[in-house]
Amino acid sequence: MPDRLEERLRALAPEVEFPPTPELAAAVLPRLAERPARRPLFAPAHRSLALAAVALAVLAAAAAAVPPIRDAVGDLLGLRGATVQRVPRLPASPGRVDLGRSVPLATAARRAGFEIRLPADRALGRPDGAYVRGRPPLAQLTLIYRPRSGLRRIAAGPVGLLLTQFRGDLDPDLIAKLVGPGARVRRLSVGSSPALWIEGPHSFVYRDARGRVRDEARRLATNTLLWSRGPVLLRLEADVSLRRALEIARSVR
Amino acid sequence: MVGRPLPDGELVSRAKRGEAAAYEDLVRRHARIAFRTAYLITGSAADAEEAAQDGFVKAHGALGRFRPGAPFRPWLLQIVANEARNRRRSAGRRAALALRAVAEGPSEGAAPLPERALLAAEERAALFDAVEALEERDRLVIVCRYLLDLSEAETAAALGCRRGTVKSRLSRALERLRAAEGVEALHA
Repeated sequence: MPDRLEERLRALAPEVEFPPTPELAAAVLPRLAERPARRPLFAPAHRSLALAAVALAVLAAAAAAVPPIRDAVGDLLGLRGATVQRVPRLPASPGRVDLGRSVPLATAARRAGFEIRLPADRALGRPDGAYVRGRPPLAQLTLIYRPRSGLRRIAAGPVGLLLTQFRGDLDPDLIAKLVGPGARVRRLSVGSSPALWIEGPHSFVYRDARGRVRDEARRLATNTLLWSRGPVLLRLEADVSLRRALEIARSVR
Repeated sequence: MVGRPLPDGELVSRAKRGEAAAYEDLVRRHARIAFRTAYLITGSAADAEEAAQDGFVKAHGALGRFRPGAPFRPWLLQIVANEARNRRRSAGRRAALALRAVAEGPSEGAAPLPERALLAAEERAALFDAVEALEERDRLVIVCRYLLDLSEAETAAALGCRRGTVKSRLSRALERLRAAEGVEALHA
């Protein structure tokens, strides 16, 4: 005898409570590649290894063949945690902005393992999201600001400005900036900290928590300001003028 | 005039061409089912959120492998469910579910529930309790198929088993529910 059990189970569905669905689109979009890969280059398990290998190869090539400007940057300017190397060709980038995981701003400091620096700049306002990649002490925190008047979109997702922060005092080579032939690098200062302003094609490699060199695998067509505040190294990326970038950097508390 | 929402297949093709807005539509459309599926597997809302986020990012990166014309949702749920299984911390953790609260007595200013509605609410509560009392494997297959309204293929993807297994597990679970209800009726 049919007992309508399946029907009654279906009727139960709207009455059952699940935890509220979080806002996923806002967290997912900034993490997407410009365009998905047409076919997988590597099996997923080997992909990060392959990226690391590419980055290492590029680093090795850069160290061997190109007079690096890293000495000038690292030693003369004392910008701890970052090195800059000029390379003849930038590594191919899948264009993905891998920021790590979206976290509430309130818990971001705890997850990153250091005190976050927030710009007090009025026109910039509050960040629209916070991301943490890796674990302390080598975690990387990124604050995202959506595109708005004065902030052009710089990635596939809704990103107008990225402010990334690391502990720069732990490893002098934590991140390395690879600068392509067309890029311009200027030395400046933000407060008492040395700073670097980079315009033109460039990309980053970084060292993960296990000490492996990883390609950050992104190429934002935009300008970058690198400076430090205490032990924290900051990197601002946006399509803004040097003057505006400095304004924002100087407002960081 | 507002256009008719585009089918998943069209959004997938656009997303493959690099249209972020098309993928955003897909994320919005499937966020709830992805999150709930992940929640059932991890038993934790925080882990489910991470799994769903990472699942959507990975699915986007893998769109090149997506077979045109295939349904998007089972494919997505498989990726999300894998992420969720990787995060499952202890096998014993069960996703807590609850029935929407029904006012017990007439609250201030509100009319008391008609008797029929009250009876229906009680029956629903009894059925829900019977589902909750099932052993985890049976409970999961019932929740996926009827409470999340997943297809057989989607349930298989979510639970990481074959469709045939879903079928047999489901009929066994239904039998056990019927048996449990029969016992209730005898005691009533």
